[in-house]
Amino acid sequence: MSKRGKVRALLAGGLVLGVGATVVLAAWNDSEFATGTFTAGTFNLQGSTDGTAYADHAASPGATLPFTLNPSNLAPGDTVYAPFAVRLAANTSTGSTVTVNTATATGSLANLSYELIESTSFGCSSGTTGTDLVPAGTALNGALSGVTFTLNAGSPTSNPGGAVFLCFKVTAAAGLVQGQNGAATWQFAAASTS
Amino acid sequence: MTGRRAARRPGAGRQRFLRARAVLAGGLILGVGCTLTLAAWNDSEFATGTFTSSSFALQSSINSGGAWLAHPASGSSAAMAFNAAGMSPNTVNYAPIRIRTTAGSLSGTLTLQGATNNNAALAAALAYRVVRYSSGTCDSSQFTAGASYLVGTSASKVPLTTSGAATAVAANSVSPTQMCFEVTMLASADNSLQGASVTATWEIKGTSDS
Repeated sequence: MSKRGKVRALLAGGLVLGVGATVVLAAWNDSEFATGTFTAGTFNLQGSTDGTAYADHAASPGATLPFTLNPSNLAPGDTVYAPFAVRLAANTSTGSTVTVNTATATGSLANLSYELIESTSFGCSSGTTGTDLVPAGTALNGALSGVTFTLNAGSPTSNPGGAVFLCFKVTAAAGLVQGQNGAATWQFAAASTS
Repeated sequence: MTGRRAARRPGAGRQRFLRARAVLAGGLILGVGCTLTLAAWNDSEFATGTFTSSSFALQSSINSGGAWLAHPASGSSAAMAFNAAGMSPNTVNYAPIRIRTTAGSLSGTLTLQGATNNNAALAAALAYRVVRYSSGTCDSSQFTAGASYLVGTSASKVPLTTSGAATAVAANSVSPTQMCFEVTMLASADNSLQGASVTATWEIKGTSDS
């Protein structure tokens, strides 16, 4: 192609580009920008065995329940009592539903049964009453289903939420075997409610 | 040689005379031409047309029309009034934004662009949908089956990066276009996202109708 031909071809190309650009600008344009800021809440469940000091026990075996009698020296017919309390820690942004899961057993728990009560104040003794979460006579590692209670977040959320007080009553049946030894671990699984 | 030069002198004088006549004759012709140009009176009429480009400009309000401002850049965007409290899985937050043109502006079309964000992990745990509504408050009541969905549907919520359908905006600042945003934290949001924060920025792109 001659030099003049190339120049003309280039000019023609430029003209086509120009037409394209004009089409894009065939209307006026303006934009509005809007933002939304979203923060994920926090969520933390704590337990206490004395009703005042709360701590995380996020992994098994967790907190050791303070039974009133020495649970290491049970005789047939004995009942031992242990209180426990759970609450949502400070800065937890939402309430929760807590599910009590079936205890996992180690060793032998034969002839031991329990009752779990939700009471109105911290403490657990023979006279403790309240909402029966797990009915008396349930085996220590008996299957639990749908055992739940509700925890509220603190108000304001910079405070810890109100506690739920629990009472474990463990009874040894007549058939308790001398020297048997076992442990039960309950999981309180809290799930945030939105 | 001298004789020949002397013999030519009368001839040279005649040539000069002929040239002068030719120049004069040319001048005469020019003169005639000039006279012809001035052979009539002259007058003109002038007409003008004034051409002004139209304008197209948008404003938005995040407090239901209380204050209107332009937010033409992502760095100075309108901060929508979503609930500031921490979200948990399944938490749903609502916030309205109204868009209008400025006084004298043309009408146009608005297209909501997918959001950019500054925390990809948390943004991925959020879904949204947007309706255009005409009355009432921006809350769950706007997201009915028959609502005008710009993003998502009555049955589905989509990622924040999803762009929306086009919708009209009226000319000359009347009849603002009202949009209601609904942002949901997915039930599958990971436990590790607790306490995190994300800012999503949406561009509402306007194009004039003419």
